[in-house]
Amino acid sequence: MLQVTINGQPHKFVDGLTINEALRQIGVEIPTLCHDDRVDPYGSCRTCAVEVKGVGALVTACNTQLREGMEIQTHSPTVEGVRKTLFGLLAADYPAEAVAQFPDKQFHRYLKQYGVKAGGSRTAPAPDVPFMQDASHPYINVDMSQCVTCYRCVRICEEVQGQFVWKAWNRGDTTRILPVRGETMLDGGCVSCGACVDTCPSGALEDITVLARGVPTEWTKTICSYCGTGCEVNVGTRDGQITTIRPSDGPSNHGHTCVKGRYAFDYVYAEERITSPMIRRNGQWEDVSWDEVIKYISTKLAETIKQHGPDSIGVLSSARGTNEENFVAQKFARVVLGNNNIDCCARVCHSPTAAAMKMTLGTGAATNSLDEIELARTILVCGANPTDGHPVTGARIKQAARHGAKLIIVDPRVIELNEFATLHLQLHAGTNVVLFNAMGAAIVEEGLVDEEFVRTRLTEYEEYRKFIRDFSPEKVEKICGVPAAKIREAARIYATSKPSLSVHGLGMTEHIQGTEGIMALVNLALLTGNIGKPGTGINPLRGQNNVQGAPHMGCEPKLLAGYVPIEEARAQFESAWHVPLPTHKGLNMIDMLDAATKGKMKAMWAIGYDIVMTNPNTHETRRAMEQIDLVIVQDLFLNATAREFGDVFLPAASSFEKDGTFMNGERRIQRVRGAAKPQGLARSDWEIVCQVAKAMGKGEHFAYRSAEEIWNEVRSLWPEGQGISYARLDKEGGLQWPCFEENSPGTPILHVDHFTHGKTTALRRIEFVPPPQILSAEFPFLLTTGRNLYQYNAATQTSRTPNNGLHPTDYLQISPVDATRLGLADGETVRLRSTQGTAELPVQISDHVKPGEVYTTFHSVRVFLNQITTSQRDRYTQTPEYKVTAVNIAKLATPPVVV
Amino acid sequence: MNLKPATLSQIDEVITHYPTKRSATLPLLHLIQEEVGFISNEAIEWVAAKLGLQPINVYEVVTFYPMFRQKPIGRRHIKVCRTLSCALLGGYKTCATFEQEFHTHAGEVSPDGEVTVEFVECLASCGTAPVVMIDDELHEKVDAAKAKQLSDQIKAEAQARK
Amino acid sequence: MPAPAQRRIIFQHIDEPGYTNDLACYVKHGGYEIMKKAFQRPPAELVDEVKKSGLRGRGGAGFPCGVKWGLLDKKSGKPIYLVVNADESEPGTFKDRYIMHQDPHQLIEGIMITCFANNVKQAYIYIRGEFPHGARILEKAIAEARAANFCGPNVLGSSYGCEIYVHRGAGAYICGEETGLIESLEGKRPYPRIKPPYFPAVLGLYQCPTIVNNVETLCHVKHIAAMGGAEFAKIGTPNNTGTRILCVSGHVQKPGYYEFEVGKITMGELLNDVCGGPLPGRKFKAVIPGGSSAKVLKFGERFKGKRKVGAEMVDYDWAVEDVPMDFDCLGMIGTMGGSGGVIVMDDSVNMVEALANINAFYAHESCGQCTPCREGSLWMKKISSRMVHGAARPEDGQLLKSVADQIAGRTICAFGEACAWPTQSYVAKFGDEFKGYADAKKTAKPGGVTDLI
Repeated sequence: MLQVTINGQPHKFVDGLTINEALRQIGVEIPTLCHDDRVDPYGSCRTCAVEVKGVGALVTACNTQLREGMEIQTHSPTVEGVRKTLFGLLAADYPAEAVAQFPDKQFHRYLKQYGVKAGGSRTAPAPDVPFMQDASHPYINVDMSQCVTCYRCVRICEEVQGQFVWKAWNRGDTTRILPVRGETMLDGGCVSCGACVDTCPSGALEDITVLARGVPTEWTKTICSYCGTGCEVNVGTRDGQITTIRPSDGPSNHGHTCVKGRYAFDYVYAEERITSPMIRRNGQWEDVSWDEVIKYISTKLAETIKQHGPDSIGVLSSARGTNEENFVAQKFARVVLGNNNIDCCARVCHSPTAAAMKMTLGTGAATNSLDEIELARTILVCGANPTDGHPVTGARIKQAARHGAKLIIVDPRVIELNEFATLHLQLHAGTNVVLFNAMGAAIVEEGLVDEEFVRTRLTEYEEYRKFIRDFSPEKVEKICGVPAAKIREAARIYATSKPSLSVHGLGMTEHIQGTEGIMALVNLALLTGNIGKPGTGINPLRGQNNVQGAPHMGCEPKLLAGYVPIEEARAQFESAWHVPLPTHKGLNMIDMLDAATKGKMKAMWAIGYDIVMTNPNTHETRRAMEQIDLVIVQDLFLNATAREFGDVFLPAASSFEKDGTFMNGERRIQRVRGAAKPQGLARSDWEIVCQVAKAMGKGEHFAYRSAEEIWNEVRSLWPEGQGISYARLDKEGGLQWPCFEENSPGTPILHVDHFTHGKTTALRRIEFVPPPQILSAEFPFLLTTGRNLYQYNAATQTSRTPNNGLHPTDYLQISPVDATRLGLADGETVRLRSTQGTAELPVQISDHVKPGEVYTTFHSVRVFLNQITTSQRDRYTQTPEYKVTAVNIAKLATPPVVV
Repeated sequence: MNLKPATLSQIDEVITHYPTKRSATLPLLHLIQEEVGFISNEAIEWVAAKLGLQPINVYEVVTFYPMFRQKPIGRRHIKVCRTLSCALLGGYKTCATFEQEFHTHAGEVSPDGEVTVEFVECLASCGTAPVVMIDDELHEKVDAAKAKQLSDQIKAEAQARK
Repeated sequence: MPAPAQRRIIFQHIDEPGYTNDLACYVKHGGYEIMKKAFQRPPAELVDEVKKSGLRGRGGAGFPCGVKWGLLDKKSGKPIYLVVNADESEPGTFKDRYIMHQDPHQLIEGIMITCFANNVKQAYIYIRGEFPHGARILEKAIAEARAANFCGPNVLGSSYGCEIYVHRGAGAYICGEETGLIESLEGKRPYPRIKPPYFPAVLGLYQCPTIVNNVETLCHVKHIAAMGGAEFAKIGTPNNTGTRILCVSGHVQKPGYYEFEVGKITMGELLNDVCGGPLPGRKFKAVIPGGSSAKVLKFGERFKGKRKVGAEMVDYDWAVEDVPMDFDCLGMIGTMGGSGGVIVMDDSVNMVEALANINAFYAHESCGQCTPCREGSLWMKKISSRMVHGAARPEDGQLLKSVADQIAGRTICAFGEACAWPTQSYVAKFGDEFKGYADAKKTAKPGGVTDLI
């Protein structure tokens, strides 16, 4: 503890604080114009200067360490005089209109506090070196006449996001903060994360929505509804309308967010949003009342059960819904319909991860936490493109690499993180098992295993050692396409530059050997002891906000809430719910469609799940959907499924319009809070489901009055979540399960002393199953797919926001070699053809893909890429192999008609 | 960028002087300016690529240093010292003389394209004030008369060239 | 009493007929002999000699060179760098120019002894961009020295190697500030670093321990190695040892550079006896003793106080002419010896205009990193230039002072002082001229008076 005197009063502080941090602890406020906790102290504005006895010059509080015995004056006439002068100088030519319009801006507050009037005007002539004015960005207005040269935008862009959009140009009094070539932000590589706007103390950078709709009058802390990072955000509303979203200092995002979470919210107000229940009669959608639609559905479902049995109905729930909504959906299937035909969109993404990790480690979820990215000395990024798919996590990985962590990229493509990578293992798509086995073989051969860990925590090492010999890098380099020396180098780095942390995405899971690929990756962590320690582990980057939570709540045919197999927990649930649970094996989403094709699926309720758009091989999907008599779609929009096959449409509330919790990719439960009222007649998913349950005579099982009541039921059934109450979430913020008791801090790291299923686990021997020979003279290109920063999955939300202007369509990335061979120029449209169908889209020539391989995103409704993906599936979980399709590419004579 | 092979090899050599490539930013800009006469955006991006930097890292540097020019200048570059010691002995008059002689204003290319007159800060030859640098050559004790004389020389050279 | 004679050590060969800047000439005059001897001694001994010599940095701050070297973090395991500050950017200073142009090998020898003494294996000479010939001369000299094995690998056949590279600046006063210079050398904007923690001796170039020394300082090192620290300390006056080069410019009959033992000559002797006094028909009005940022002295003002001479405290009562030209005496009277640049102004000069000239310089040279300097220097320029070119108000002087007072001591680097001191001292000493400037403007200037702004 340090003894320090502040303004004559003695205080004690822990060691290691800056003066500013200490002052904040005791509630002494000083101006800190250039300071933002998210970036390193800079000390350039000098407004935080304080007097320290015995030090000649004034001392800046933001970047001076507190020392024993300091005697500090924070508001002496001297320092207040300096501050007043500095604000006076900054305000001399500052537009007075801005101060009047936004009095709450940090700089404007200081001016008021120090009695300084802005001396400039918006109508004043521009100086010789003009200020940048730019309104070309869809979200950000730039008016540098309000710039106070605090460098916060420059530093946050570089230090947090890892872009380099803003820099100081010129010098002295002509210093101007400008992007590259001095022109527009977007030219300068801006990824529109909005961090610069968020930190700007004066409004030189401002959200266009704030300028148009006004400063928010209310703020609601909630969780972003895009990817699985789980960023905590503050939603600002004015007159009930969202005007801006700002990052909050949440445990998973630490005050950062991305273009989607920050800006892509206007889909809530999209014209096409459906806000009334509808029934399609004679091919026409008709608005109906809730009473009518509930009655209609309940009658139809009851009839279907009566005629075709309970197994003829399927329910698909949404990984974008809350835990509470997913819990209610699966309970509906099991208690009201009496079947286990409940699934969610995890089926098309990380089911293989969950399955593989459950089998090998005992828990099907990330072993470690996002905060450990900064602790890892090696980061392995496998089949993921975090800067696009999980931008906040991507930015953290980028920063870790900039600060010296070794970064190994395992991807068939070059991704943005390559720029910061130590190694890129550019494998052939679909050969993950081979590559990870080869790394395992190298680790074993070169004696790099963590022997202590092998001895105490692993079994079947000898068997693995013998098995893995056949995967020696030199033996398999041709199969996976990565030179043996590179494989060995990667193995050495991963095994020796510890702690090593792995993150992975759908490039790992959406394969025939998806589950096995994850097991092969887990083996590496086990062999090297990179598990159960800070900065290590296997960490799936979950794609959607609640894709960890949805199956965990029981939206999985084989599992009940808590991710427990039905048979293990049947008694517990039956006694809690006072009903017998169905005994039939449930159908997953893929099974349901297969059953539909065979005429066995008569009704389907899709909650926030666009089956037609999302599932692979659209033609096959359509054939299945055609067979279903009653298709109930519950969504914000009339999606492709609703348009083509829907009979009933139920308008759902968006994530901004309801309460509940999400579970992010690091097992963290966080509170979702309604910031605005649902539009029109829209309702939360859980309310709708409960009403139907009631109408079907099971009301007593669904008598919830709030999301919290549902959550409390979840907690009562799921011991690992027992300690996570709403009260705690509201007070402490998100908590990571396992969290058995109310006084438990939660568990950032799993498997520390033992695995969930016991002290030891076995190394799995994963054989490589060569993918069927799909390339042919007719289909000579291997197509792989992924996500783009600006769009989100089927783009239901993002395509209805100005994000569309930032990324209007999908592009086919093709190597320069192939483009030349096919005579293609950038932007020309091609027809992609697979065995299943065709899709048309423009090409983008890029050396990010290898010759023979092509890549595209799958967001655009116009392109409708899943018309060409195939029906190959993961051997364990039936997750579709979106990542590998053989295609033919033909140049189109004329561009396709845009509808 | 079409740089001469000699410049390119100087560039490659100078990069080896430093443990980090970024340090070679100023040397590269000098070499390019010596050959091309100014630093274009193309040159900036070329330097960035050469040194593995973000282009903006070169923009922020180029615009800081007044010796780097982002636009072409006249055939001869006349830099008159403006700072105190030279001003005390008539630096302002010296500059005005050049401006008059070439019908131009400081900072601009003369209408005939012959010169750019620039009023610069201290050239560190205060003992021989007022001083002027014409291209790389320092001229000392350049009072108005000597400025006229230097102007005449430049004009004569221009005439001879035509 | 006539002025003492110059004692030319550093400038021994400057302007000497027949003395050329090539290696052969240097060697003929005994060049590199001192280095050869120095290399026979343990490096620590050389450091001790410099400590004993009492040599103070000639770049501006006058910080003891040996102490600077002593602060060097030698345990970090990181390479140690020497950066030669050849930016010579303080207006009024023009000494290093002549060393580099006429006697570059003297500098190289000083560099090599310094590097050897401090286990430096890489030195950079950061030369101002306005010396293109100087850079070429140095490069040629380094190449000659390297070919003769005086630098480069295996110097003089030893296992010790050290490379020297020339790095050109591009017109920025701030690069004279050592951490700004380091940033510039790293290829960045020369924004001075925050100290602590970025003291060059610990976290300097490439975050490695770094010595930054001025050209003249390093030349002195050579002579200290030759004569020994104790002998060197006998030159000059106590705590102000050695010789120093005084650069005189402005309104004197014989401006130029003069090398004297530090403290052995007074301002009056320098200006009247050495530089020939004021221009015909003029009187001295003011003098800046140590580069344009030093506080101005007004002829006619007197300085009284006590000072230590030997073991005794004695009273002093000086006119400007009486002040000995050393670090301590100039510091005592509220200004500084700085970089040795003496700028003289006679009675033709209006001090408001002189200040406007200086303020324009500092506004142009502020790097723009911290608020007081960026905004304050601009503001001072605006006010002083408005006084000259627009309407002057009697209170403008006080207005200028009020801003200057909030800059000095409030900035990241010493530029804050550099740009505030002129304003503070001009307004304090020539307040009447500021008050009366509006009236003074109404009377036409006599012929021969030059514009300063």
